Formats: sequence, structure tokens, C-alpha cells
Amino acid sequence: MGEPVDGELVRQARLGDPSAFQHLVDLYAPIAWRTALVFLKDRHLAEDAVQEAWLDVWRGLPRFREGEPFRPWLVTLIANRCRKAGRNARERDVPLDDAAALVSDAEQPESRVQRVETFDALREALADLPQEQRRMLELRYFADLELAEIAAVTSVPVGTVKSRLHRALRALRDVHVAERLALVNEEELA
Amino acid sequence: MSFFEQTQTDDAPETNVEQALRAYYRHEFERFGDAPATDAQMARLAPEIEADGPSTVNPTVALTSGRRWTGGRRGWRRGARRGGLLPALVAAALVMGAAAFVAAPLVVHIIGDRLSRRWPDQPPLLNGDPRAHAAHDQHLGRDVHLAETFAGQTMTVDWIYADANRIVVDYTVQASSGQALGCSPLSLLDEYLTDDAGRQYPMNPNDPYVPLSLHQQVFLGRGPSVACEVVFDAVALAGSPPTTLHMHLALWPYCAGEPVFPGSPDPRAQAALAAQCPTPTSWPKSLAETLAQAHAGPPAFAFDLAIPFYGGIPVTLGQTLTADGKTVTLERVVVAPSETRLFVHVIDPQIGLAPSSPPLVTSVTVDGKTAYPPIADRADSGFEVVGCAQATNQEDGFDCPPDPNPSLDRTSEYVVYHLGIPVVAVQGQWVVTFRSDEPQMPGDKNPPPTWTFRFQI
Repeated sequence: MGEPVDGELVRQARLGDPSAFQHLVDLYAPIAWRTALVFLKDRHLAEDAVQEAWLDVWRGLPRFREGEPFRPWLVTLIANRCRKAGRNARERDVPLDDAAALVSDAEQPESRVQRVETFDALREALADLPQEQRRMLELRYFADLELAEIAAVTSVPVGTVKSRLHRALRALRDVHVAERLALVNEEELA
Repeated sequence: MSFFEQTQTDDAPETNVEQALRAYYRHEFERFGDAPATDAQMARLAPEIEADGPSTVNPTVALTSGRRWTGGRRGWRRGARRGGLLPALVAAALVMGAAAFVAAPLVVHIIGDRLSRRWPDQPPLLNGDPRAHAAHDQHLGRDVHLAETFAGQTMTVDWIYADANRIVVDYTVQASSGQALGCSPLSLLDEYLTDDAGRQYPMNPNDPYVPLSLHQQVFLGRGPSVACEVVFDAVALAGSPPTTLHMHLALWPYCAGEPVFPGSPDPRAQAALAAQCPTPTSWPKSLAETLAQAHAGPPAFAFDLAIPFYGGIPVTLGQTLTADGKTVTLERVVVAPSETRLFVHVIDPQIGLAPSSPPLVTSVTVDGKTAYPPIADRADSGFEVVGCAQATNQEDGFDCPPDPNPSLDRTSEYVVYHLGIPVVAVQGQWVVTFRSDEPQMPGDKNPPPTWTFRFQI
């Protein structure tokens, strides 16, 4: 989690150094953004939630214990802000656009079709999962949160995170999405 | 190695499925764009940061650009706790509420089932809010079939229901050709509910829209017909409402961020009719601005509704408990067929408002029997912040005046919890326990404080 760097930045930010705080914002902007998107699926709401979470960080820095990991605390604050924003604007589990609109035009027609089919199949399989399992998958594979961080932001034990991820992945495999996905990965990894 | 084994650690090699999920999510979330520039974020934070050091930072909360009635915590003014009106409130509320409520049949049915029966060709309701599934007698509400047509789009109000907490309208939109306008917030319609006095009822931020099914949600706005359930907050009901509420439902379509009006020569109206108007991936301006502009013109659909009102049991308590130096006041409880609401006054001393992470409801028992939660999961904890902008506490209850710009008020000291408690056997000794949900400082081993309230209904 990059704690040696964080530690010094957090220490200086606690002393009121705006440039250290700016560095923290720079450092964690991507994960903050991705986490907010997972919860809100709305650019404007996510921007506001991230903004307010950074204010929470600033206000909470005096109570933050030196030497403790910063990132789990940050993502928890992000999740709290998102939860509130999302509840106010209806917490969203918004399906996304047709995969066909998202694939690159530069792709070869064959792989494009294959990818669209794969993503369609994956979307269908994901739609059958309980919402909390989809959320865990997004936090894990889009937001790139670690298991303990997912546990923190969803307020469930790490064991529950593991079991939900396991069930979700198994379900995807069980509906044979994996076979299609393997093809996509081979292309991507090539 | 099995999937399970591979997901047990953070650094395990990923399977094809996991790698493909990353690719899928990269594509899916691409539509939201990149993270905002940190320079811009800092520019917005600067007034806070430069005001003082982090320990004494100005508590002003940044405004959000949220959509109508959903943009932020809305104001509940403290009332009875300050004044001496509690006894009168309790007596009046109990008499009126109980009288209205006892007329309601016991709950044996859920809204989702009813929806599925109404449109049997649709997949079952998969994605509705569990709290919308609070049990109802199947004869609650009223079937109506009021239809209006705007440029090839026929909107039909199918079913209406109201109690002390919620007003629910089910409707369908059918396109004569092309695709139907979808229900908000994903697509092209914006709903407004007012009463004869012009009082506006905010959408329930808990679940303003319940698409008929996940399938419908996926293809919202893309099919020839769309069915939606829209939930309004009944908090604006004042006094002792009659058994039938006379309401006015108006809907405005908008297309690519611009409103369209009936009778307008604007070609976008025709586009909206033919549903060629896509759901914009990025709004040319804020949704709030679009809606404000839309409401300057006539609605495309307008209905006068006579909604049956099933009341509720309001109980004013004003109980205050302190734990770990933190004070929580359970001001009021409203039990109704659709849900139970707890109105709680709690202040984060750092900001002088309700904390960003209010206490969670961890359990509710009635006469020793667990009434809530159905399962121990944060997602079902019932946490919610709701209310209405510029609310005032009248002698006959909280009041929400019409508010054209509700997202500006973020000064609440109240948190409102929505609990999906079945209304069977609600009378008895209630025990409600809250647990602090404030972020724990890393390394803090102390258990979070709890508050347990006891009262009789």
C-alpha cells in the first residue's frame, strides 16, 4: 500500500502542509475515483463524493494515528460519502451501455464480434448475481481494492468478502462464461 | 488451484475469469471518463484548507450537483425537543395516526409480487429495494388505468398507493413505434407530484425508481414498453390527511440534456417521441439545470390522481441517550405499511451537523421478537438520510413546503432511517439499538458505542 511514502506525507499533512496533502490527493486520486464510481455509477455524484471524502480526510487528519495505513481509511471515507450520496440519489446498480458501443473500432471484425459476445455473456451472468456480489467484484477487479479494504468499505468481515467473491466467480464459471472469457484473455494477453 | 483458493489472498495469480473481469470493467466504466484532475479538486478544497489547519477546518460542507430532491441531506429542523409541544404532539399524533392505521389490513403481500402479477410476461422484480417489499395486503392501493399520449408515447398510470411514509405510483410507457421513454433517472422522464395546495412531494431518495425487473433495467429506454414504479416521500403530508389524497402527477421528457415540450416545434420533441434520443453518456449541463429548464414549460403527461391513503402510527418520543460521550435522540417513529421510519437527532461536534456516518440500526425487537434486520448485512441496515429542504416542524408534524431548489440545504441535524419492518404485530414493547458507524481510527480496539431505546407502541 505504499505506506513508507504515505507515512511521511500524512505526517506533514497533519501538520497543516497543503502541498503534502496535495501529494496525497495526487497519489490516491485513481483509487478514490474508481471506488466512488463503483458505488455511484455517476460521474457528477462520484466527483462530489470524492471531494467531500477528501474534506473528511483533511478534517480527520488530526485524529489519524501516525504509522497506520492511510489507504484503508481513505477508501472507507470514500465509501461512507458514496453511501450517503448514493442513498440520496438512489444507490445505483446501473447497467452500462451495450458492449458493442464500448469496443474499439480499430479491432478486427472477428475479435470485435467475439469480444462483444463475450461481454454480453458476462453482463448477462453478472446480472444474475446478487447485488452485493457484483459490488464485491467491482471493488476487487475495477477499483483494485485489497480484500481487507473491501471488507472495510462494505462493513463485512474479510471472510465474507472472500466467500462472496468465491461464490461470484464460481457462478461465472458455472454459466460457462469462463470459456468465452478465456478467448478474450488470450487475445488481450498476447 | 480452485477459484476459492485463488481468491483467498491478495497476491494469488489471477484466473482467466478474473482477468476478463478486469477487461470488462475497464470497458464498462470507461463511459464515466477519467478521474477529475487533482488540480481541480484541490482548487475546490482550497477554501477549506486555507481557512485553517486540519484541526480547525471550516465545517462548511461542499454543495453537490445532485439531481432534484436527491442532492444532499435535507433539512429537518429541530422542533418539539426545543419547545414544550411533545405531550400535545404525542397525544394528537397517536390518536390520529392510530385511527388511520387500524383501518389498514395486515400485511401479507409484497409489492414486487404484485408488480409481477400485473405484467406476467415480464421477468420477476429482481432489483427492487427490499424496503419496497414491505408487506402489504394485496388489496391495498388502487388499480387505475389512466392513459395519456404524447407524440406516440402512451403513458398509463396503473396503480397508486399512499401511507404516512410513501406515495407509490406504478406506470407503463408504450411506444407506438420505436422505443419507449424510460423511467428516470436513467432515461427520459422526470416526475413531479403535487397536491391541491401546490405542495410538492419529493421522490423518496431511498428508492425513487423501481424498474419492473433487472431485465427491464438493463434495457431501460430501449424497448417498446417500459414499466416503472416511482416512490415519493409522504413526509410533506400535513395535518390529518383524508382517506383519499388528491394529487397531480406531471412528467417531463428530456433528451440529451434538453427538455422537450408538447406542442413545441422543437424537433427534439419528435426525437423524444420516437425515442431516438439516447441516454446521454455525458450531460452537456447539470441534470439539475436541465430539470429546472424543463419545469418552466408544460409537462408532456399530466394526471389527476385520487390516491387511497392508509395512514400510519406516528409516535413522538424525544428519548435521549449518551454513550461514549456521544448523544443520540430518537425523536419520532412512524410505522406504516410500506416501512417504519426512525427520526434521529445526532450531531457530529466537528461539523455541527449529523455525522457523515450516522449510527447504524443493528436490531429492532417487538416484545422480544426480532423484527429487524432480516439478515445481518450492512446493505440491509436500513440506513438512510432523507427529509426535505427547508422543512419546518409544525405543531401537527414536520412540513415540507414546495422547494424549487432543494439541493442547496445541507444543514440537517437529523437522520431518518427506513426499516422494512413487517407491520404484523407492531404493537408492543419496542427495543431499537443503534451502533456508531463513525470510521474507526486505525488501531482503535475499543468497540463502537451503542444506544438502545425502549418504547411502547
